Amino acid sequence: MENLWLYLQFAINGIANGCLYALMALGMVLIFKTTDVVNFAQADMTMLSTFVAYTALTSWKWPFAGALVAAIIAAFIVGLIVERFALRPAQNAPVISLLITTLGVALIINAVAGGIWGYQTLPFEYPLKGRLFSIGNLSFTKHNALTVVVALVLSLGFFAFLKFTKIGIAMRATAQNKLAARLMGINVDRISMLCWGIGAAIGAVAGVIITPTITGINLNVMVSVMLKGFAAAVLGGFTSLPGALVGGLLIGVIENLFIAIPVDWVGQFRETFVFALIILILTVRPHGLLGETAHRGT
Amino acid sequence: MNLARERTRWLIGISILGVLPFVLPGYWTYQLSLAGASVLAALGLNLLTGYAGQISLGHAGFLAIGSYVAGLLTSSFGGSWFWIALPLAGVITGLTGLVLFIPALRLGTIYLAIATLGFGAAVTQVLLKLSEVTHTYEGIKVPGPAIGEISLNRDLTMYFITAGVVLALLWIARNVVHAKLGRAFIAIRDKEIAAEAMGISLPQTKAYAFLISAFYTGIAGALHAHIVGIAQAEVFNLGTSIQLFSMIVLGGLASLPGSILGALFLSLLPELLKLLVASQQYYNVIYGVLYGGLLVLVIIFMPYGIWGYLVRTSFKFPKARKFLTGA
Amino acid sequence: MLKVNQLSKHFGGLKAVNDVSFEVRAGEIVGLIGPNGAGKTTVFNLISRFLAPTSGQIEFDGHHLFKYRASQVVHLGLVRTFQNIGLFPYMSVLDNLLLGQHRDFHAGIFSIALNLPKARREEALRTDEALKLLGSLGLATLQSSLVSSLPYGTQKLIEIARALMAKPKMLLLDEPVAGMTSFEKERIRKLIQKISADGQLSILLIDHDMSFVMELCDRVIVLSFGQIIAEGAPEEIQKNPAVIEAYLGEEAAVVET
Repeated sequence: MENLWLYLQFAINGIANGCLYALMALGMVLIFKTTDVVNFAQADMTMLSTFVAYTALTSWKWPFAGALVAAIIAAFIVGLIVERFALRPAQNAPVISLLITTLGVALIINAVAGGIWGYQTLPFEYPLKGRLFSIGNLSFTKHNALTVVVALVLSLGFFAFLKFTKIGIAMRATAQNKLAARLMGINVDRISMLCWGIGAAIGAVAGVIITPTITGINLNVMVSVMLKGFAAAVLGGFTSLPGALVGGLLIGVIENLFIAIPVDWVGQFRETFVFALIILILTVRPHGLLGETAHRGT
Repeated sequence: MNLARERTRWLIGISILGVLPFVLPGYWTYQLSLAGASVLAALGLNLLTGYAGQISLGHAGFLAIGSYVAGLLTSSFGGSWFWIALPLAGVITGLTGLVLFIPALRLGTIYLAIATLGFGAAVTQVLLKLSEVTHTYEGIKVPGPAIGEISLNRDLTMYFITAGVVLALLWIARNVVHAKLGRAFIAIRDKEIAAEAMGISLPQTKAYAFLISAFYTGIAGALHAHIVGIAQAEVFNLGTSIQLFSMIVLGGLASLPGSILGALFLSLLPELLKLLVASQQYYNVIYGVLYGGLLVLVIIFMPYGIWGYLVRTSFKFPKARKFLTGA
Repeated sequence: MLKVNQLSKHFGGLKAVNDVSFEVRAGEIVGLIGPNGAGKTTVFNLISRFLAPTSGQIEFDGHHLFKYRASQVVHLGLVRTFQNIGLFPYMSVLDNLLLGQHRDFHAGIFSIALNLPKARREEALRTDEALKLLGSLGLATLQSSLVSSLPYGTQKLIEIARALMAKPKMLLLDEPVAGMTSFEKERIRKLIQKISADGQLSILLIDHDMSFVMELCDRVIVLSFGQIIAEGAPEEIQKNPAVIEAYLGEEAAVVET
C-alpha cells in the first residue's frame, strides 16, 4: 500500500516534469513544422533566456513574474535573430545540414553566455516553496501546480492562437504547404521568423520554471531537458502539436516511475530504459503516437 | 577515374604522412594520430549518412565500444595483443551496428535520429556501470602496442599505425563507393522505391551500411584508446556524436575527401587556436564563437561542404579540377 | 507471360482496382489506358509488388508474383519504369545504367572492399555493356553526366535504357512519353519498336497520348473506375462506345486525334 502511494507521488512529479518537456517539445515541433529544421539550439537558447531571468532576479531585483517576462522577450528576440541571420541565408543547403547550423548557433550562444555569466552553477531562487495541499500521503507542491497550470494555459492559448487568429492560420498554412501559402500572399519568411521567436519563447517559459527544481543554472543545464523534449516530440509524431504534449507527459511519468522502482539498477539505467521504450514504440508506430502516416512516394 | 592521376594522389598523400612526424614536434604527432582516428570515424559516418542516407547521432557509442573492446584485450593480455585487438574491435563494433539497423528499417530520418541518440546514451550508461563493476572509474589503462616482449615508442608507433590504417580503410571505402554497394547506398538514399524496383534489397543494403560504418568507427575507437593510453566511457558522449556529424557536413556529405577535410579541420582547430590564444577564459569564448560561427557560415556559403565548394570552384580551373576529382 | 486474375485493391471504401483480369502474351505490346484515377498506376504498383492486393492472383512467367518481394520481382525478369522518373538524380548516367544490372553483380563484400580481380572484371564487363547500350541509343557522350542535369525527355529514354540493362522478359512502362515534345515521343516510339522487334520482349504500357498508344500497341485494355470496360485491337477500341463515353468531357478530344 505504501508503495502505491510512492508510485502515485512519483507519477504526480512526473506529470509536472512532463509538462515542461512538453513545452520544450512544443517549441521544437512548431519550428520544425514551419521551417523543416530540427532546432538543436533550443537548449542553449533556453539557457540564455533563463540566465536573463536570473540576472533580472538577482541583479535588478525584479519580481519573479517580471523576470519571466524578461526571459520570454529575450528568447523571442534571439529566435528572430537566429532565423534571420543563420537559417534564412542557408536555405539552399540540404535540410540535414541545417541541423549543423542550429548546432553552430548553440555553440555561439554557449560561448557568449559563458563569457558573461561564467562557468559555475549559480543558485536560482524560486518564490513558490512548499506544498499547496496534501491528500493522504500525496503532496502537491505549489511548484507542481504552477507548472501544470502554466503548461495548460500556454498550450491551450497557443492552440487557440493557431486556430482563431489570422497569423495563426497563416502559420498553419505555411506548415502545410509553403508554396501554396506564398501564392496566397502569406509572407512565409516573416512567418518562419515569428515561429522561431514563439518557439524560443515557449522554451524560455519551460526553462525558467524548471531551473529551480534542478540544482541551479549553468551553461549545460538545459541539454538533457531539450533531449527529453526532442524525444517527446518524436514520440508524439514530431509534426503533431498535441503529440508533443502527449509525448512530454508520457516521458515525464515513465521516467519518474523508473526512479520509484526500488531496485538499484533500474534507477541507474533509467535513461537507457526510457530510450529503449521510445525505440520500441517507434518500431511499432514509425510515425509516432499522433503523427501522420506519410504514404511512400516515388 | 584516371588511374595514373589517382596513383599520383595516393603517392603524394603517403609521402606527406611519412615525413610529417619527423618535421613536427612530438606533441603534434600525437595530435595528428588523434585526428587520424577522427578521420576514420568520419569516413564511417559519411558512408552511412552521406552515402546511404541513414542519420546517426549515436556514433560515440561505436567509438566507446571499439575502445573498450581493444582496451580490455590489451590491458588484460598485454600490448602484443594489439594486432588482434584492433581488427577484433572493428568486427565486434560492426556487429553491434546491426542493433541500429533494425529500427532503421522502419524509421524516417528524425525518428532514426532519436533512436541512434538513445543508443549512444545507452552505451555510455552501460559502460559506466561496467566500470563500477570492474573498479575502473578512471578508465582502463591501455598499454601501447608491442611485438612479443618488445614494447614500441608509443607516440611514433601509433602515428604510423593510424596513418596506415587510415590509408587502407580509405582505399577500401573508395572501392566500396565506386562499386555496386556504393551505388546501392545512394539509390536507397535518394529513391527507396526505384531502388527496390532495380532489385536492391533495402534490409540488406541498410545492414551493410550500418555494419561497415560501425566497423570503421570501432577501429577508430580502438586506435583512440591506444593513442591516449586509456579507455574511458565518458570521453565519447553526445557531443562526440554531434562533432562527428559536423565534420561530415562541414567537409561534404557523400564525399570521402570531404570526410578527411572536415575531420582534420575540426580536430586540429582547437589545437591551432591554443597556439594563438593564451588566456583560458578568452579561449573558451573565442573557440565557441569561432567554431559555431564557422559551422553557420560554411553552410550559408558552402551548402555542400568545403569539398563540394572546392570542386565547384575548380570548374573554373580545369587542371585543378582534374587533380581534385580525378575525372 | 503475365496473367492477372480477378485482381482487386481497395483503399478503405474506394475500389481502386476491382476484379480486373487480363493477360499479356509473350512478345506482345499491350496498352493500358483510361481516364485519370481509373486505377492504371495502382495496377502497375500491384504487379511490381509495391502494393499488396485485397484479393486476386498475378502469375508471371509461371511464378506466383505474390510470393516475391518488390526487390525480387526484377530477378524474374519483370522491370518497371516510373511515371515521374525513377532515375537517381545525383548519379551519373553510367552509374544509373549499372544499377539496372544490380542483380547481375555477384562479387561479395570482400572482393569489392579489396578491389579483387573478380570485382574489377565484373565492373569492367558491365560498364562495357552499359556503354554499348548507350552508344546504340546515341547517348554515348552523356555517360558521365549527372542525370539531374539532363532534359526530361532524355531522362525518360535513359530510364528505359536502365530497364533494358536488366535483360527483362517484360517491361512495365508508366507513361513513357508524358510531357514530351513530338520529336522526343518519336524517339521513344522507335526505341520501343526496336527492342520488341525480335518478339522476345513483352511490354505493358500506360499512357494518355492516344495516337502513341494506338500506333504502338498490339492490344489495348481500357480501365475506368477500377474496372476493365473494353479490351481489343486499337481500331476496335477507338470505335467502342463505352470507351468514348468513359472519356467524354475532358479527354473526348484526345480520343479523336
